[in-house]
Amino acid sequence: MLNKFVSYIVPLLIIFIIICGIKEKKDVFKLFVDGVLEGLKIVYSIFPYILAITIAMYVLRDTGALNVLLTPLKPVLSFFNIPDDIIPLCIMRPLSGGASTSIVMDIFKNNGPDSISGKMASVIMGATETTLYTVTILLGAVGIKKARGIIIAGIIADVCAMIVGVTLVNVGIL
Amino acid sequence: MSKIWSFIIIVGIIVACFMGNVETVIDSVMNGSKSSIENVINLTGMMCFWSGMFKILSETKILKIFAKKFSKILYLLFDRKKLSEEAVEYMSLNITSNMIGVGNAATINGIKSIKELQKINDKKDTPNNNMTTFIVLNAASLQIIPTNMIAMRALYNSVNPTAIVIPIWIVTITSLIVGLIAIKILNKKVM
Repeated sequence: MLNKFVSYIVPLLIIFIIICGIKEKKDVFKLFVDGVLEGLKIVYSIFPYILAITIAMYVLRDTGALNVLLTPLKPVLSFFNIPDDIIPLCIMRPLSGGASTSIVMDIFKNNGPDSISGKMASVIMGATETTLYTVTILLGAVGIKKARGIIIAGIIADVCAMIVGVTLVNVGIL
Repeated sequence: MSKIWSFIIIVGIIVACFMGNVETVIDSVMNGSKSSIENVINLTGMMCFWSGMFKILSETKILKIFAKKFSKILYLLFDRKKLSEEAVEYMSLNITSNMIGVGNAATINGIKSIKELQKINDKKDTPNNNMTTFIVLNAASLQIIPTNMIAMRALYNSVNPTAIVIPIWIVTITSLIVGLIAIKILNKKVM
């Protein structure tokens, strides 16, 4: 029932946006096309990051280095039913949006979006922000270097999101 | 970022040498670059579509109308004495655009808000409590409709791409509350 409702959200959002535009007599088509070009520029500018991180992740995984690095954590991970694939995502998420996007896409490609790690990746990616990037931009805008408790609080929020996200998938809510 | 990236590549190659499978290095570089292109091509159309949609939205008055309703809630979270009218206006615009997912508008209004907050900040080299709270609010995600995530799941043939929406709400709200409590405590401790 609730899921049926949720699947209407995106189509309704599209209709809502277009109607708002028409009601205010905006050139909806022109705006849309302009926005597409902006989107293309964003993809263009994040592509180098995506390539850099995807290669690094492949090297880390295929050479067996990820396995070696995760060995001391293995008992903890298996105790909490955390798949290995999402660990790189958890580390990269606060640091880089492009990097985490490419890790999520790779999990989707290899395991599918409806696998355990696919679901965890979806929730973690969708429910968090690129914390360090946000803090840097906002503090940088006013030229402040002292961050006081901001970064710690941001990381606490991210870790909390990861724990809750993993738990929700493990108890079968998703 | 630079250190992490170099670390990953160097450790990867060293481990490969020790385990005697150096050939995998060049394979993984090749597969990684191929895969990044494939992924980006898959993603581009959808990202551009939403960017176009949100461009329309950011030109309408809707964001402003929502922001006005929202500004009252702001007074609950922030110290009134250190808020100017302009700051509240930009802050509520920033939060509403974040919630809907209009990234560009959110960033622009976020920067304007922090500049307004800085004007009434006593110690110019240190963020005051309103500034720290506002930044944490931005750093913890607020997005209500995760359009990009739904699109990516659909691209990789998820049976139910929108199934994640409600779990994401639960996670976002919990982590937002935890983040805000953390910054309220840290505001008192870290000067």
